[in-house]
Amino acid sequence: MKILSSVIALMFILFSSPSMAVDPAAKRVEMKLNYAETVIMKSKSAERVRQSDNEEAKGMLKEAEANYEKARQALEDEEFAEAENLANEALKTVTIAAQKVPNKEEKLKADRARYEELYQQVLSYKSWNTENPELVKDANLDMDAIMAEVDTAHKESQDDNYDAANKRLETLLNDIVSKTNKAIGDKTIAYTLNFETPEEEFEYELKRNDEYARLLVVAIEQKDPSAGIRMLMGKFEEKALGFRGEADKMAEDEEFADAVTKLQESTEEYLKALKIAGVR
Amino acid sequence: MRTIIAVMIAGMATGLFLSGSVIAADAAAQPSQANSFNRLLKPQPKKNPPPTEDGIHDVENPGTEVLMPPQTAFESMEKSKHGNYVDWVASLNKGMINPRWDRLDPTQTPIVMDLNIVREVKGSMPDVVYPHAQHTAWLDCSNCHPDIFIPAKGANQINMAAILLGEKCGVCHGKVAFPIKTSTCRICHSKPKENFKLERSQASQQ
Repeated sequence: MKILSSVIALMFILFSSPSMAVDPAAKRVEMKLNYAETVIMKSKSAERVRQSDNEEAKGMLKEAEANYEKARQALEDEEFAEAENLANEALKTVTIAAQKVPNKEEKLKADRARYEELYQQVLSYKSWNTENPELVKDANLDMDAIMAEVDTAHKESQDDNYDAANKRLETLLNDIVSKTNKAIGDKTIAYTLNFETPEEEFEYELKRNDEYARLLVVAIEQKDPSAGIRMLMGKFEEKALGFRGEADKMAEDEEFADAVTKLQESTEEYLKALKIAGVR
Repeated sequence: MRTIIAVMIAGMATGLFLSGSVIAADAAAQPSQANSFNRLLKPQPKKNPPPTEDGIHDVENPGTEVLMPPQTAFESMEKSKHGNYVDWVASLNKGMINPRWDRLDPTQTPIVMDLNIVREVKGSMPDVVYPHAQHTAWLDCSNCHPDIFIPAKGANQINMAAILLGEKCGVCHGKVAFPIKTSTCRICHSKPKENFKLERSQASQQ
């Protein structure tokens, strides 16, 4: 009896396994169709389209549903490529339909964010233009007119009229950018490292030193160096911290030029530690 | 609205590609901390792995299987030797990709700014040239200004550590744009210093 059941089990494994194995293409299409089903039949965006009075979007949703059904049929007929194409088409159509009926709350949120973005950009350009008068003099930007437009947009935004506010700011920004572009076309701005005071240079080196110290921690975590390398890195770090301490002391005594040199020595030690960890 | 481009680029990095469609917002997975790891330091064991193997996407999520594998998506694009092995600028210039400039208005075109910024660096390394043109061809000003780079002279102190930590240029470079490797130094450090002479050591002169 035992032998018989073993033979049956073996035959089951031998003969049933191949037919039970799932074709990867079929599996992929099945997953995609399940996803399409969720988006087309059960998602909030599709429901929003159904409830809307946007006939065009509703028509597109119906088209997506029809393509989804055809895709299911194609999958059953083992026409995987056809099924996948139809599923893609259905997903694409439902996405466009959903875009045609935006969620009011989400739209308001997105519009607000866009308003902030545009507002900051206009102000950034304004301050950049103010700081580089020589570079942008040919742009002939009327700053008063720009600010008047910004104020109008602000008032519109306070009434939640973001469509108008954003349109106004976009037009304004495009005008500023294109005029600035024409003025600076193929020019180059050079940022040198000529610091006005040793204190300024100290601040620059201090930041650099802090960032290399931070990088060391990340390098150890990600490169996972051997114990020997870690020990060596520790020694470099110790030296770096020593130099840093000296630099801090010098800075306290306002000996910034010497402090800069010490900070650079400290950063060099971090660089050595990083190099042996494989960060080059 | 134009920030959709940034989202799309982030999608390139994380493999968020759907064959011929875009995920409807309320059905989209929200991977947490998708870019918190740093590819600059930790090379991926497999070249552009599929979403189920990239360590970013949730393998339990059925939507992950639906995403187009980056290798398939990148197949026809211009190749590079770094990062995700796509030369994005060349692909854009050759029209292989056509990023949508405005989410709602398909007729919107980018305003390309042709301004080079040269940043002096210490030591013998050539200075850095930052070309706005290649970046503004598909990025909105707001993608970088003022959050990443404050558009004011002296306001942005950039160093390699910060970039390797994924800050400043490292927000994109190393994640979606070419990474910082010894083989890519010269892409940015492209302006040799004027009058810079490498001093020979005493020993070599003897």
